[in-house]
Amino acid sequence: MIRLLLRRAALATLAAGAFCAAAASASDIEVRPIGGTTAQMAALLARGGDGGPLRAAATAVPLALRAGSMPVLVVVEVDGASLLDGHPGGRLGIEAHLYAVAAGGRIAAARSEGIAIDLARAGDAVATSGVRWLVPLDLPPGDYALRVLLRERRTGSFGLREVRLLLPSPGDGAATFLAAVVPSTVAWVDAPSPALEPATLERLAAEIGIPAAFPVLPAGSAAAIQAWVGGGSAPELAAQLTDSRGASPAPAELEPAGASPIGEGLQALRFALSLPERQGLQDLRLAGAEGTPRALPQRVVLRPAEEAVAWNQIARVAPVTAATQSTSITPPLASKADRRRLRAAYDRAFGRFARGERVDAVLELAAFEQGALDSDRRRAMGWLEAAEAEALASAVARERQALLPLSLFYRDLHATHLEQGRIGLARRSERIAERLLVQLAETAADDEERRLAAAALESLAGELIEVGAPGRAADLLKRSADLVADRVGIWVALGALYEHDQRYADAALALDRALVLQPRHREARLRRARLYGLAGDAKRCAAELDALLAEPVADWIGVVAAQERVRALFAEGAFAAAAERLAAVSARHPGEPSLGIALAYALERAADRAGSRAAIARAAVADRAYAQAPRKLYAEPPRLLLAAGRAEVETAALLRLDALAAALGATGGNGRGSG
Amino acid sequence: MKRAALPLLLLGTLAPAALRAAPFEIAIVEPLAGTAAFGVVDVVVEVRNEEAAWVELYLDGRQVERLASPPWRFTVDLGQENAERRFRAVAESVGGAHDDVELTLPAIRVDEQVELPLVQLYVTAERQGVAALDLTRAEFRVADGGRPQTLVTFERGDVPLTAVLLLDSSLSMRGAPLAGALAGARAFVAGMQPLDEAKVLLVSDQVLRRTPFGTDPDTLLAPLAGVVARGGSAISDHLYLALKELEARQGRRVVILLSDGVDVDSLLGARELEPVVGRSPVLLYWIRLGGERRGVRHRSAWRGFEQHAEELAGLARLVERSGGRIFDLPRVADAEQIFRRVLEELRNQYVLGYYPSFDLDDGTWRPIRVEVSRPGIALRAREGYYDD
Repeated sequence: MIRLLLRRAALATLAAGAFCAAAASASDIEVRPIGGTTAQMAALLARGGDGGPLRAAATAVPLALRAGSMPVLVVVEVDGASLLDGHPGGRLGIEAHLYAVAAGGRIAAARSEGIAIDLARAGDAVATSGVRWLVPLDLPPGDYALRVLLRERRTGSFGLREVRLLLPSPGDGAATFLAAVVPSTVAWVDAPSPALEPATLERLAAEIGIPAAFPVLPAGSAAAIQAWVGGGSAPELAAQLTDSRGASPAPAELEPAGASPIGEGLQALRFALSLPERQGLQDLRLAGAEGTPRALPQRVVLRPAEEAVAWNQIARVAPVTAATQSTSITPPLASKADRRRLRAAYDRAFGRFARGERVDAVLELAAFEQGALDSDRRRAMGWLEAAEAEALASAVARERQALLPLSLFYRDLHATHLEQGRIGLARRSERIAERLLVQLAETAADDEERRLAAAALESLAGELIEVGAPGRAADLLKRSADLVADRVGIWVALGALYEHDQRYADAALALDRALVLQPRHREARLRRARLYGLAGDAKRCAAELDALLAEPVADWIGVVAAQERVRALFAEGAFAAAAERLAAVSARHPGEPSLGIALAYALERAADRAGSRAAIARAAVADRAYAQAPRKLYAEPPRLLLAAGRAEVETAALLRLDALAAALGATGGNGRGSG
Repeated sequence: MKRAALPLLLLGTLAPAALRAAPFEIAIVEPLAGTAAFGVVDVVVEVRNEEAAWVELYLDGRQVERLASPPWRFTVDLGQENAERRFRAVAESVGGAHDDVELTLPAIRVDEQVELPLVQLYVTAERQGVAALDLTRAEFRVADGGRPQTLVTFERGDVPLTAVLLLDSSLSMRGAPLAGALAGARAFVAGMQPLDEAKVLLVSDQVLRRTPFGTDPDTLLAPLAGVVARGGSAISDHLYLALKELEARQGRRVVILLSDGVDVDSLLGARELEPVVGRSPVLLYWIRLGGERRGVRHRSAWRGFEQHAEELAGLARLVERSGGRIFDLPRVADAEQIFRRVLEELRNQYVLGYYPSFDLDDGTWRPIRVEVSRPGIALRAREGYYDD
């Protein structure tokens, strides 16, 4: 089970009877449409999934059921503490982007808004709860991935969330079940989109309730929930809560408690739901009679009644750091290996991890492994590996779902060894984490599992980049790309990593895969063009770069394409041709100083000294539009993209701790070892 | 919309209210029409009858700047070429009206243009590493393209200088290295003579800070407070920028670069800069942070080990070719001392001038050889120039 802790402040508030944030008035908050986002942020949006240090939750519900386009309300709750983490105060500036991605990757609707909050006036309210962005979309019936990207402008902290939305077509009079909704009871600082009609929002809040993005429900008691249904008479509904292992506890009881109209063809059926005692993350499924379309499950967390507050009041499990107090143990090795005691040490650490003692479990095993090495430097590694392999094989054979939490354990262990300067042990832990993930990937049973395994491999690849192993990172990313092969962004990232590792032939293959999926992908084309050049095909390189430059797009890719094309022209002595291209691209990117400097150079060499002087005067005061130089954006490994799935993988791993516990049950790992 | 005089007849047909409200218009009041202009000039636009929302200035068809608030004063460096200049100002009023106006400044008319390309050589003379300050004009011999030349000017000591202090402020300079570099710059500026001028450029993969040319240490260095090193390094690109900044200046010009020289992000390289340095009278000094680190190899997405090594060697070659010098700076804490040494070397240079006895104007490289008759003296001067 996951160890869940509550902050004292939240408990105190609960004791007072209600959760109530400090008040923030509408005048303290400004929401307005903004333009697009940066290239890196766009790449993250394109990737999808969950990630980033900004904690957030999202949900979406239709506000009417009709043929054609339907109004949809998207609710995004952003944790105040992570928004304020590292913020110097003054004005909070959140960039909020929402993309509705339909089947085939088509963007069906999008909205980008800036939320400005005066912290001097509303800072307390933000800190107590967080910010709730309420934003409408119009969408026709279909299956959508709603991708939300949030970024605090001053800290640069970002959060990426993806939520699925299923909008059925209105039926022929039969009831259509649309959503299981838990109205929010948390006093968020609301940031309603200017596109949202105030009257609609006020009526929804007063009569129905704003849906909670990630409801926290009281275990063992009753909770008010709603089924949003459209058309026909109200269907017979049954509720079911399922945990991560798919096991179904006793069905939860639904007690009808009335109905309220929401909008055209849509009503909210109210129920009192009797919840089981079992705590933790669960999927709430409401199902109608045979033939009634099923709505998507709502992820909820069950907590003791007195602790059921907002999702962001559930404390994060502390990361493992060297500063954390080590729980030292006496190594069981004296002069020769005691295989059973070694094995017991691994089982015990895995068991503590499964019980939610994440930090202590990892520190214990880290200290144990170091102690073993200290006692017999020559032979200990072999002993450890044998015992560990046995413990892992046994756990995984009993419960395949244990693979993901075990890989998380080894990633933590890797970080701990690394922080304490134990390079050999760190490398070993990292290899085991990798092996477990590869096993997870190779045995993935369905799309969801494959996607998760892919995200885990990407996240580990991201960590390998950080420790200076881009080659191994690329190998992992290749497995991930093969696992879920229709993701253009991952093939491009793989191409970039191979290029970084100077494996140009592999890079070309990866980029060609990306271009098969999306022939016009600009970054893939740029990188491919450069590879043509590196392979000596200057003509094709030039043609591809010129094609990119001919497109009227103002992005960093265009800047790098121009730079590379111009470098070749400089080498040929074709300064007038270089100046011509640079002048055109500079007009599109007036703030890019490198283009201005190159233009001044080209003009000078083409004997236009006055033009050169004018160009250099502009370049000297140019203000770059990108946070990083375009050449740096090109050269940097795709860190953000690879790190983005980390939170999602961690959550999934923690959700499977019960599987690890079950796997260890028969080995004694779930109990207290003798040490 | 171009302004045009409305015929009086047409005015007569306008409504009285329109007659009362004079139209929004602008005029270029500086520089004065009919005068030739060189170097840095202010262009002043006067706005009449309604407030302007913005004013844009174009020079010879290229946009210089857009100002969004008064004063409507643009500072432009025209260089020293004798050429016709065409200014155009465009403005929009707060009410949405537009006006534009043109001003063409003539070139100075001459019946015959005679070019007298005085070649100036800045020569450092040392005896066993110590400046030799007692050499006379008669002791110097200069050959240009292999042919002996007659010196027409000879000076020693404090010939005024104009310097660009080009300080690498990329991420690797964060903290103590940049603080040391700034302390060095401060020492240099504090040691300048009244007629010397300097400007400071803090650069990474873009210009982070840029001061105007000046002499007062407080004015020059105050804008640099609080700057944080960040970003990649584009040394060659900004070396070119520094050379261009000096193009419109006169007299002895010098760029002092403080960097480890590792250039990841420049579009230009030493090969591209070679003809520019070869045509420029500017002296390049390189305060090489960390010294010459033999055996340390660099690789980036843009250049392999070999190419990075070539770039570093190329930068060193440019410095030598210009007649400047590399000062190794193993510890950034010594930056002040090294900047003072650069200044001292500049103070002790001989300035030799001659008119070349032949002129090819064909763009060929003309090597210069400077010798002194006194034994035991080591000389350093620019290696030559492109004749075009």
